[in-house]
Amino acid sequence: MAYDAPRPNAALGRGTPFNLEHAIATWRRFMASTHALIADDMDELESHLREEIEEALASGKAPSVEAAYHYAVRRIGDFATVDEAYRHVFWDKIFYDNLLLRELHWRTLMLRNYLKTTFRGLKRRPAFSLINIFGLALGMTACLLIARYVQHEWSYDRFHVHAEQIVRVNTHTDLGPEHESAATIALYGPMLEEALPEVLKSVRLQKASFSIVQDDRRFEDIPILFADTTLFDVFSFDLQRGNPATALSEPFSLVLTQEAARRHFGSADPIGQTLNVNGEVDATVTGVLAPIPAASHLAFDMLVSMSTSQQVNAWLFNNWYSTQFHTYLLLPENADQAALQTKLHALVQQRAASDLLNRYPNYHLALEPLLGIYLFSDKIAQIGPTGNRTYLYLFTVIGVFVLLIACINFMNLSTARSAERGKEVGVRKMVGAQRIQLGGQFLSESLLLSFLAVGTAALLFHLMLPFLSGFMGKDLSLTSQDYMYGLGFLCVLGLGVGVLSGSYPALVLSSFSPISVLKGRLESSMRGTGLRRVLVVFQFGISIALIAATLVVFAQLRYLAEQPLGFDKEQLLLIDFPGNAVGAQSSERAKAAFLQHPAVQQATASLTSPMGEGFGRWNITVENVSGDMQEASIPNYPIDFDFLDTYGIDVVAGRPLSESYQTDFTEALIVNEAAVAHFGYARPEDILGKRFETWPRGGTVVGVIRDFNFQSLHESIAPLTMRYLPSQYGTLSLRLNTANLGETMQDLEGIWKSLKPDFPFSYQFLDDTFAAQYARDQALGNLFTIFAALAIFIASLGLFGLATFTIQKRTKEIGIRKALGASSTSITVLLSKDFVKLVVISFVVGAPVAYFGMQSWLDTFAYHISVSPLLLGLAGGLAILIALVTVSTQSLQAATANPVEALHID
Amino acid sequence: MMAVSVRPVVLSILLQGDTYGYQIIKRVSGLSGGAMEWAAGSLYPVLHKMRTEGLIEAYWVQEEGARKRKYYRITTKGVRALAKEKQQWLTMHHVLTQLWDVEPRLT
Repeated sequence: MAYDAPRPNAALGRGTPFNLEHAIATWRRFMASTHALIADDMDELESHLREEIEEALASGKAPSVEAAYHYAVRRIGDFATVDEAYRHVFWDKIFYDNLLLRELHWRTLMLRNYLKTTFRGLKRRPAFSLINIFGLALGMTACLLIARYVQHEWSYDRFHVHAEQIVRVNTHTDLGPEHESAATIALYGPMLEEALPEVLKSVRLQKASFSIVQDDRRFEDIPILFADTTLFDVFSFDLQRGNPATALSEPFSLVLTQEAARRHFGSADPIGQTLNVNGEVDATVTGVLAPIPAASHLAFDMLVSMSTSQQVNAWLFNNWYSTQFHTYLLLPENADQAALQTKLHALVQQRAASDLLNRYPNYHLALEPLLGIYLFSDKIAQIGPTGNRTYLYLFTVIGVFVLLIACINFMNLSTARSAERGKEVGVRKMVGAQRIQLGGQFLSESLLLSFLAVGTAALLFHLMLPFLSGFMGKDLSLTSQDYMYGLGFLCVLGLGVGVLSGSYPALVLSSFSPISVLKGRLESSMRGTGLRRVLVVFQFGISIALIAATLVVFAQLRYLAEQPLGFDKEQLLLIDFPGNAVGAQSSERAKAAFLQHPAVQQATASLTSPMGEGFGRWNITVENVSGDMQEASIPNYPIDFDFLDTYGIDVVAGRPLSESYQTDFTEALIVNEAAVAHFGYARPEDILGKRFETWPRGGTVVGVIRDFNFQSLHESIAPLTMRYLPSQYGTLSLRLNTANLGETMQDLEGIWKSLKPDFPFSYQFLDDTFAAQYARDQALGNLFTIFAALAIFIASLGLFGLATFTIQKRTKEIGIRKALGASSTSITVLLSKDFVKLVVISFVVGAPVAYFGMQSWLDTFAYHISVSPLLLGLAGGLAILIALVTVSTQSLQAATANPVEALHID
Repeated sequence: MMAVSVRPVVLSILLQGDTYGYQIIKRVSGLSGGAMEWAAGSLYPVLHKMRTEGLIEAYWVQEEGARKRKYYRITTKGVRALAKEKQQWLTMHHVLTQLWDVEPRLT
């Protein structure tokens, strides 16, 4: 289409005298609007124009100055052709005449103008822009936080230089998968290193906890690892102070972590200092470790030389049965582990004690790579906590989805808004704006929004990272280098999202012919609506699934809290009863002292409380129903005579342990109903009087108790044995009358101090131990709440964008309805109906996902609720409510608008 | 139709003396008997291109009592280029006139 130069006096109407200079000035301004013509070119063209005008007047071709002017302008050529011709040679001119600098300066100014107009454009709809930015920023932040956590979990133990060459030795007895142990006996470490050339180094670790006395301060439950000197050869625990070759050689040597050094010695040099261990012996500090990365499956506060354990627990070191150690091997690069495994079998068959091999015919050792331990190991007796791979996969998927949805939303909202600006585009095209200019405008607006979101996300991420660390209980802090990478990634993402969302209006809108755009014909953008509807359904489907999941988690937790456990867990105070050789006297004295207090109703001593730690498995043989001595590895629970009473556990056959029977002190065993079944007996009475054999000595079964939950309700009740073993007591349980609890606690502390002045009064209520069991599940519930809120927010954003767009399309229709007498209410309902339909569809999509997903989570509990339709319905109802609220602003606005304006023909 | 014929025409005109755009257009119009009316908006960009190729140079002239005009002058490079163009066009002319059976008429 040809655009003529503006006719400057046409608007002023007839009768105004023609001013040539004025006309030429206007013409010049018009021509200068294209950047392809520089000032020099303008001068040349103007000079040409004037010659033409003179010639036309002189030769009579034009009757008047005005006519001559128009004639001359036409002769120059139409704007479009001229513009294109000049553009063609533009850059050659720039380089030839060295105008590059000037050109860059001009472009910078243009950029500044772009930004100014962009900001103005955004300020016109501040709420919209803010919501858009915040929505994208939120999605990015969530994704980043998840990414950080997942990255942390996958990076465990990778900081060791030889990580790929380190393996752990596991013990398999093949009595079942519960009998694959991460622990081994002490003998294997040095044996393997000596006998197998492929084993470059071996190191044994033994987990323990110390109490340290320093001056008048006492520190309890310090996690330590006994370690061979070869530790520093195998693992990359660098010593900041001390000599790796000697730090762990001498007995009673301590190597401290940074935290331990700071705690005990402040900033002073700890080397050579001593600390008193367990009130028994002084140990010397021989080294301080450099800071250890948080992502390590080996967690400890101090290292102690293995020679110490050899001296103190010598019997552990030539014993074929005490699997108290964790053995790691350093292999050469690219070692053939399968071949080594075969050699290992042969070696074990050769060297292991014969009675061991006879007892466990399938006894063998297996190698497990270090890098697989944290996330992939399913062995028992791990040296530290292991991570949960399923959760990681779940989180990764959620993270990707959240980001994807946020980006899609951003693009949706941007394009929905740009459709409103069709008129603006039309007008600008009429005055000659180029496609590139228009497209560039949209693109820069979208990029600006996107980068603002990136900046916000970076800030939010930085602020929230400490919270995530606390929430997950792990140190997730990042180095500045990591921040650089993260920022780089974000910028690329921001660029991508900005370009993608800006490109739709940039390409599509700017290509429309201005007339059709002005008339409001944007049919092709209706194509976008179908896609948007699908996206909204998808987003709401995910939200509903997450809401339902959250509800299920909390319902399950409440169910667990209300479960009868088989014993009375109310008002039970557990007191740590320290020391090794406690003995019967000590515990009886303590119980008597406490029972004197009026608030103490019952007292008992035991190894630990139900659901406490320390429920180790013991090897025990019991006469089974066929008369054979059946081997089993089941928890054995040392208790005293008051235990069953205090905890309210019923005896279903035989009798409880009692001091009236002399044999009960040494030879009696109580089992639970599950144990009865395990050994093949039909009725509890049948097991009474049967023989058992275990350490330190055997005897007969005297009683059967009703099953009670001594582990978390994730597990069904396993077989359990209980006997009188005072040397193993570690906990005092008091049943209290909790009136005046504050006073009572003070009194009890006083009593404790009189009994054990050297030990701290360390206690916990059983209810709290119980709650702690499900801490992980509680955390999961909290996490789901957060994700659900996030998903719903983002889904609402998407719905908001869709609503804005479609409602606007129907402005004329609404105007007509109103003019025909429809009420605002009926119109609001009409508009909202569509969107409610979408949410209903997303319910159909999301509910099954929630059902199957949560059902499989519930199956990990031996005791669980089922996913009820009520819960699902509640989630759906909530979603519909939120959707209505979101849409209502737009539909209400449209319904109450003046129909005259809506029907205005433009 | 501008395209490839512009260069030899412009170079030839400039060979005969420096001149400015308007004059060039008028001259061409005259030489062609009104058949070739070049549009100014199309000519000037070509002149600029030839300038960046080093075939011609430009300079402003402000005469007494007259308006500023941008004059063009052919360069040595332009002269050589013209010679080459001339060869090519004459060859083309020779071929075409034989094909069209027209009496050869060299200017």
